[in-house]
Amino acid sequence: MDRVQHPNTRLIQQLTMKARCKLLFMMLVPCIVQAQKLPKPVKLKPLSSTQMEVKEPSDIFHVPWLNGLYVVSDDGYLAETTMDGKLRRKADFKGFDLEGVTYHDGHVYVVDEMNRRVHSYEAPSLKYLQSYLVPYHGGRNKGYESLLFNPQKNRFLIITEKDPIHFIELDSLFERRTECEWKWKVGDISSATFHNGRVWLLSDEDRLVIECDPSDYSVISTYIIPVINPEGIAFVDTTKFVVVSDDMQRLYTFQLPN
Amino acid sequence: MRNVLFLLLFSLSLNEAVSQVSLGNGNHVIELSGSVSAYYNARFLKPEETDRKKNMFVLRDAQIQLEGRYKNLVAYEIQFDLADIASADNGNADAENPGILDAFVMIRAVPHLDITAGYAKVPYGRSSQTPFIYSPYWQRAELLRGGLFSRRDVGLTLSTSLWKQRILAYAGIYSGMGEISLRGENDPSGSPEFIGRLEVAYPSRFRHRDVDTRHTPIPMVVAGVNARYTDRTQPAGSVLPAFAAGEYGLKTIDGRKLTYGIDVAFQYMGFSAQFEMHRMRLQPTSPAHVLFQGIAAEKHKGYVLAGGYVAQLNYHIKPIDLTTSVRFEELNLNDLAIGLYRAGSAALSYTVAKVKTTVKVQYIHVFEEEESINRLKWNDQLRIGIVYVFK
Repeated sequence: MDRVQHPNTRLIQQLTMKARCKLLFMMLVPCIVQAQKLPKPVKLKPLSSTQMEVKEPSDIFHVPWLNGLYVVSDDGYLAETTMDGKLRRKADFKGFDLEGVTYHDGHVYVVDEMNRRVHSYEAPSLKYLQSYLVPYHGGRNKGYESLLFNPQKNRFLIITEKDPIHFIELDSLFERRTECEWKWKVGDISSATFHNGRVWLLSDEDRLVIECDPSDYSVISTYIIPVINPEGIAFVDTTKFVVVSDDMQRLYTFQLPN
Repeated sequence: MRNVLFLLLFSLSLNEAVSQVSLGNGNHVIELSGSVSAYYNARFLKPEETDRKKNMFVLRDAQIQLEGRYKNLVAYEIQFDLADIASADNGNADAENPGILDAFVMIRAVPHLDITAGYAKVPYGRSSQTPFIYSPYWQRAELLRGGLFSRRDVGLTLSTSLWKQRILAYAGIYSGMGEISLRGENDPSGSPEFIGRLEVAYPSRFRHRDVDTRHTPIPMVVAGVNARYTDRTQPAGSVLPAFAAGEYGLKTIDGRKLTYGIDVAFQYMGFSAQFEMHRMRLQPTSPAHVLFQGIAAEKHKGYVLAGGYVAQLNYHIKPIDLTTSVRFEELNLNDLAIGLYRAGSAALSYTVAKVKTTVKVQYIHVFEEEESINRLKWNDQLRIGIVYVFK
């Protein structure tokens, strides 16, 4: 009986050694090729840093009219701090693992990663109002990490951390409107904010700040920040932003280049 | 063979990944994950040896992990390995692959104190705390594999963290039978084992990982000290249960055993290093115990020392997710016997992120062996295979 060969095996055998090496190289370095499509990330250095009084801070939102920050913690609470991280007050309601915070139309919204809920609070009293269930069946600790309001689309945006990174757009009642997997090569997304007509993302594993177009979330530019475990980002003026480190429990201030 | 490997690599680069999944009702979340790994083992025998049965394909892991949380109060984990269960050796348990890997409940009953009860890793040695699935190697160093001291046991652990999780402290009481505690037997002494560990990291908490895949921007270091003690002096006429003594007859002895060790780890911009050292003082009850090697009591003074160290260096190349690593270990199984075991390893692991699959290669070279106690049939060994993780 004739031996039957799989067509792919025959195809490989027909390739010269040089062609095989080329193909193998193409398989091994797709990420390098992808990375070359964008300008090299700009390296930033912190202007200053300060200790935060909130334990295990996981996201921040700048509140200019209070000259302070809303901060959420892995410990499950929402707090208000001064710009230098001093605790002003905590909300009474305690969640489980709060990972993202944003403000819209007189309310503070936070996302709870473990139980897949968005909690709303009245501002500025931080009185708990209600919770919305936003189901997600990905990894328990790879769920909702980022929450923002995108005024360009009049939608809330929730982003999952990793494996995969999902962008989920929701209406004011937190009903899903669109959902897509973000294919850009990055290890994770740990925070997101809207500023100056752009969506700004933060990656903990890659220590990247990523500027995106709010209409299609395509990447415009990237910045590398030397911070251990960056978990939250907020802009404090046009070009100045702060990043909070969970492990270090510190707030770092950066300036975007002109 | 080359074509098969080529096709395997090619197919890995094309498939889509499957990640872990979870189910939840708001208060209770349960998560399913696991891994499969298999390798080919090639041993380069000494000239006089002819038995090549270890040149074979091996299914190393077929692990399933169920991990759950109820509110912030209770966490639990059940992890088992079907590959180990299928190959169970009549009740013996391979310390590195014992079948059941975890079956515990952790309760956060009071602030800053976690109570863990059940079968789990004991808080002794940094390597033992580090999930092996992330290691570039196919096998832990001989000192740390569980042949000299147990890596898992049934018992109770109290743990706490301080200074923004930079300080971790553990204390626990265990059956002292290690991995064979799964058989539900205790030795006639009925004695427990006590274990304590303290680790301090700077400038931030240091996760239990060997490889710096995040390319930490600031140098980070962690140091740990730990100790464990058990007195398993057997009542007259009693003996230890089968398999309790372990591969080298050191794991559980009729007598007292004190083990202590230190470990240090460092990481910065993809470079990482680990150093771990352990020493055991064994005091067998009988002056004629086999560990005394037939040496007169006035010379051995009633105790035997054993131990060694492991040093490992790793570098992770982020753009292609490739890890290179070298490791050196020295092991003295008995200070009354002549000789030392010294071995070096090199490892390479490449992860295809898209499919969560890692190709790993490990080469081991034995420089020196403690021939009178542990004579090997080989000097070099190569392992190559894949690890698929849905985690």
